[in-house]
Amino acid sequence: MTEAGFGFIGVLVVLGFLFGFGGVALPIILNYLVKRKSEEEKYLTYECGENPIGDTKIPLSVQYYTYALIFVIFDVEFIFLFLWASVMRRLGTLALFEMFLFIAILLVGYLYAFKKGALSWLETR
Amino acid sequence: MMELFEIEGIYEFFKYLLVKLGIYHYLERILYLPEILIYLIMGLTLFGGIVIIALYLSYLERKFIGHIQVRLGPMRVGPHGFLQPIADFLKFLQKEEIIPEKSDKLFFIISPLLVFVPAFITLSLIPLGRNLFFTDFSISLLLVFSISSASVLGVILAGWSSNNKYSILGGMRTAAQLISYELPLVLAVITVVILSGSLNLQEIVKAQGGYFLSFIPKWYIFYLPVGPIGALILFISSLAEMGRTPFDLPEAESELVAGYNTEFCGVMWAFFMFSEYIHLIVGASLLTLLYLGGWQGPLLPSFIWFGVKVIVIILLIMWIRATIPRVRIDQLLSLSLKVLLPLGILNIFITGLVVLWF
Repeated sequence: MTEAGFGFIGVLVVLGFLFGFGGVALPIILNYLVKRKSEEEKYLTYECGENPIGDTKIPLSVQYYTYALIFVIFDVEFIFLFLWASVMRRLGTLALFEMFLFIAILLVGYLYAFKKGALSWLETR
Repeated sequence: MMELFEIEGIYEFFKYLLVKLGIYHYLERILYLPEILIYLIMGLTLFGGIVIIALYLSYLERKFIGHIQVRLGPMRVGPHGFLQPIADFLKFLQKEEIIPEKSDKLFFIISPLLVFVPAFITLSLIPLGRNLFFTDFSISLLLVFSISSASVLGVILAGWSSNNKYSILGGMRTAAQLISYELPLVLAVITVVILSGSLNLQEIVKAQGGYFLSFIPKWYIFYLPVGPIGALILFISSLAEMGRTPFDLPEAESELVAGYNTEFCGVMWAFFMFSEYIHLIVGASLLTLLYLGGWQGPLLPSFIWFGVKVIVIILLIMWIRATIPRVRIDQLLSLSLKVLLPLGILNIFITGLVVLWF
């Protein structure tokens, strides 16, 4: 493979951020050249035209944190799956059943979470 | 002219151009200069292409949905409103950027870029034709997922830093949606990896060449027990990853105003819009590459086949947007973890058995 290597990805990161900052900075520079109206209400947080009440930096009940826990467990598993899947033909039947076993162990935990109701929406009153 | 079609990759194409112009010889005297220069030209090409494609996809979407709903869509600027995207682009540039007083200003400015840059990079990993590709890594499939999932960070940061109730709810929802649909998405991809035995997108496409019974193409969607199920899982979960109807809860405009990008305007909002359309292109082209045979096809040049397939899938997604109502958040999450995840694992088991025993 003689084509572009990982250097290209690096160049793309730099270019992307350069364009990004350029794009964001352009209106700010224009703002200095063109005098725009500066009113206090303009910089308020949007809340459908009302004055905003309270802050958002408060403890927020995240109903679906159990999904995040399950995601972390399975995501780590899938990294192994990728490696296994790309060489599976060469490893043969034994590797297939070993992977079945590995997933089955995780599935026990998944079924436990399912039974406990961790995957259902919590009832709040 | 014929030797132009045999150049492998866009890098080699620009190198060939520089050699023909007689500049390459001088550039070579400084170490790494030609490489970096060609990378820069490729990056600029990609950026320009993305801006034009994203703008015209928005035009296509407005026109297509307009005609579905028996109205005309944009008609004023240019013939049939064809210059409308350009007018929109100029409007973005001259808009004032309002940064709310209570927002976290540094993160507020950075977050659109954190969404845009990963999307921008993912597009460079997609092979567009037999010899038309920006990069060709041996693990390009894995790279697409690892880089594109970085944009979740930008979305959460956008929601949190605007200090707005709609934004933070939208950001939280997006995070939940993206992480729960990542699992079935990856499972559907692993099915293809087992079938092809490679993580390189070009080789996955090359493995789909040829015909069953000399008329059914050997695309993975036609591998009967597992292919259609895998393609369906991939399609549903990439709809959710893109935040498209019926899974457009991140921007559910009837309840959350605009979700995580409520407070953004002008160029910063344009970056969110661009990355949304890039995700649309990447999702559609992943489905094409993995299950619909990528650029494989008879008679026509490879990149035309790829473009036609991608556009058909994009039109299908837009059609769904114009037709199907939005699901509820608990339905969305339980569909992913209670239905698609077990189905995906079962699909992998069957694929493994089929590949080894038949």
